[in-house]
Amino acid sequence: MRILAGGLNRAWLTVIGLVLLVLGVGWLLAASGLLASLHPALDQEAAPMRGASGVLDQPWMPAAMIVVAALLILAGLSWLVRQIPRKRQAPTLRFHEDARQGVTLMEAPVFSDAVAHDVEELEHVTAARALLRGSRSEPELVLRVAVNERADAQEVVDAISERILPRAVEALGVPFTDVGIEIVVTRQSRKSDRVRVQ
Amino acid sequence: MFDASTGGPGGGEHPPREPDGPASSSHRGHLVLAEKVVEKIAAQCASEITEVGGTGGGFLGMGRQNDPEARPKVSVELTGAIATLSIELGVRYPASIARVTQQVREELGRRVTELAGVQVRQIDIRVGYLHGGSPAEERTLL
Repeated sequence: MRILAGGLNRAWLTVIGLVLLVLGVGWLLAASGLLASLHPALDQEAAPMRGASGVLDQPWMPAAMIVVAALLILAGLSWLVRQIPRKRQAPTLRFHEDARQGVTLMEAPVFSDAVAHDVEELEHVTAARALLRGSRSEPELVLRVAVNERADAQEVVDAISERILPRAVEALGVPFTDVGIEIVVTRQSRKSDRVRVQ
Repeated sequence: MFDASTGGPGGGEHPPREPDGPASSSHRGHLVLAEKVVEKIAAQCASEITEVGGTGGGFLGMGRQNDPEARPKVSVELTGAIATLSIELGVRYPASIARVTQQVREELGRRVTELAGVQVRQIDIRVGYLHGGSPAEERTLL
């Protein structure tokens, strides 16, 4: 139901891994003396960090280090924020054709709650959650349905496809471009103190 | 309508009344409707549509609950004889939300003009909830 930052994490891990791989291979080649012909500092007997103290003693070095640290902090915070799971819920739905006559608005959770309540009326379903994504013209529906141990998952999916989705489409007025159904089996049961028989 | 200047319908020696004429209308006085009146007329008209619900209960406007049998909440902004309505309502699920709200818009535009005499220019609708049906249509056997 929630969007995690898995893709972002994989992309950055790949970048960091490649950078470390290149540095490691370069270090290995320099240590073995294979790069000595490119630059004297890369000679096996050379001391490449010999001039480092001259750079570190520069007056602008503390300011540069503060800037670099600030950039790293910002990058870290940005990465942490991206780790927060997001629902990517649809924005407010608009049903009006001509705004000059007035607007017709409905929040997406209003529709999701109605669909979830409809699913909960199915046999063996103990709880349901729905999430509407996309837009009013191209809606996507994600359902998470908890069923008890006696349920046949395929029957539940069929019932959702044949009874629940047509009602949802009728209410919304447009077909779903994509529907995802997640079935979760639970030992919990749901009891009701009343039943509709007619 | 009783006209005091003529002593009643067809009264005495006075010239015959001109019910819609400028001379008589100046003597008939004015009818002023408060915003609340237009709001209640609009709310009642909307609630008469089967698939529309409102909110009820609560105390001093707080804690109101969705009630398919209640009247929707309507607010009116009057500018001269022109009204702009904002209505918050519930729609019966799975009725087409676009169709029901369009019906509300057409019905209110027509009936509020008829009953209150103000021209409805714009109706903003916010669907606050979708309900499964009216409790009045169900019988509970204990």
